[in-house]
Amino acid sequence: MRQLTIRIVNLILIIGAIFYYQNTVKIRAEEVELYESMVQKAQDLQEEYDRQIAAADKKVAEEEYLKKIQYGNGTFEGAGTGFGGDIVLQIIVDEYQIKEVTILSASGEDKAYYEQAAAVLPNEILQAQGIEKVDTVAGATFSSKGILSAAEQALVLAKQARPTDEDLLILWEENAEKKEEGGEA
Amino acid sequence: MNETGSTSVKVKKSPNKVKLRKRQDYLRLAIQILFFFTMPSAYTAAFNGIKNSIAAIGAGQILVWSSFLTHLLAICIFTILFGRLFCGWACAFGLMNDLVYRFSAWLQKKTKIRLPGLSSQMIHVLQKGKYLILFGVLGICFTGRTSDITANSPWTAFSLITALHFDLLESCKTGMIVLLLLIPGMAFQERFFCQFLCPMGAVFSMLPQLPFFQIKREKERCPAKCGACEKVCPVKLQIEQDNPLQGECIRCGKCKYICPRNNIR
Repeated sequence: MRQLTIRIVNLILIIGAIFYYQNTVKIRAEEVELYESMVQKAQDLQEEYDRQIAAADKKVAEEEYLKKIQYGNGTFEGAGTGFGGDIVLQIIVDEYQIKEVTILSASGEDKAYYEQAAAVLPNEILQAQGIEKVDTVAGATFSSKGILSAAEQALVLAKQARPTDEDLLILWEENAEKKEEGGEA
Repeated sequence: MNETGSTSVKVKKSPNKVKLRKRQDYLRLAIQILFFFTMPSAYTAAFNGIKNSIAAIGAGQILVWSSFLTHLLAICIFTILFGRLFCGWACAFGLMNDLVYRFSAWLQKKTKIRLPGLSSQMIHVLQKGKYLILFGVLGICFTGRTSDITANSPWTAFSLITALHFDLLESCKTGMIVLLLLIPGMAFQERFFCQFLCPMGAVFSMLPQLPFFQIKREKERCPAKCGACEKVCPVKLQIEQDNPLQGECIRCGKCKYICPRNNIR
């Protein structure tokens, strides 16, 4: 009888130990799962946050870029009345910036006054990327006004040729991708 | 028995008893062969269940039920109810032990050469060996190297041979060598592996055995200095109440048929 009792007790103890072990491991596994799910959640939140920051930054950059662009690329001509007759002006826009301002013809102008204006104004228009802040040349008012009004006409056409904001942004992104690929290659 | 306590059972004459003994012997052999063909890997499946569970505990993993454990549970419940009947009647590896010993005994009879035997005391000491094997194997499994055991086990080699997968034996060279080294042992001592080395036997021998199917002996009726049951017993068991070694008995039944007074049930 004694042998039997000892063996039964041993068996019960062993089975009990196994169940205890199983329980402990299960609890630990659950805790690990909980911890990992929380870490994952924190990572997801961090990613979302980073994503939103990046989106906001991008928006700001885009707005800055678009603000700077007034004109579409191309060659535009405008005419204005100077002292005597029409002055024809050509403006070349490349990379959305005025690259060249050229007077094509100014037949009816008085040479002296005209040369004063023509020496200065095209350059000023180029530098100012427009006519808003460009003043007439003192003493050559009519020629200046002719040149400026011709420029205005050309620039109206240039503004009309400006691509929509959407298209500008698409082209900007394509350009950025090409540069990246070029850099990697 | 009548009131005076003297036996009223006649001591059976030798020839009848011998016939009975032989019949029971062949019956057990037949059943062992039957189980060899129907359930040849029961013992190895049960032990795999233990090895894998220990490995899982060693790795701190959740224990998962497997078909191995189903085998283990079935045989253990069977052993708790009926004692190590599985070892004696259904284990394929036990059958191998028996066949080698039968052949050796027959050879000894024919050539009249008797191999030296071990004393009962020696045998009882060596029987502790299987607990060391069990402890060692489970220790190795605990540290995650179960495959080292399984790949080099003589049981694996035995399974491959009996399944006629001789081509796969290449991968189990160590197991094959161990198996071959065991064979002389099996020839010298009945159930050599089972009682000295079997880790599954170690587990079974530690299980509680319910008293209903225990082998019992009416010691008062034993003739003085007989000891026939102990001599014929493969594990040299002294049949008595509360013997701590009672877990060694593999229920072969030889004691029942040798007792001159039919004391054993």
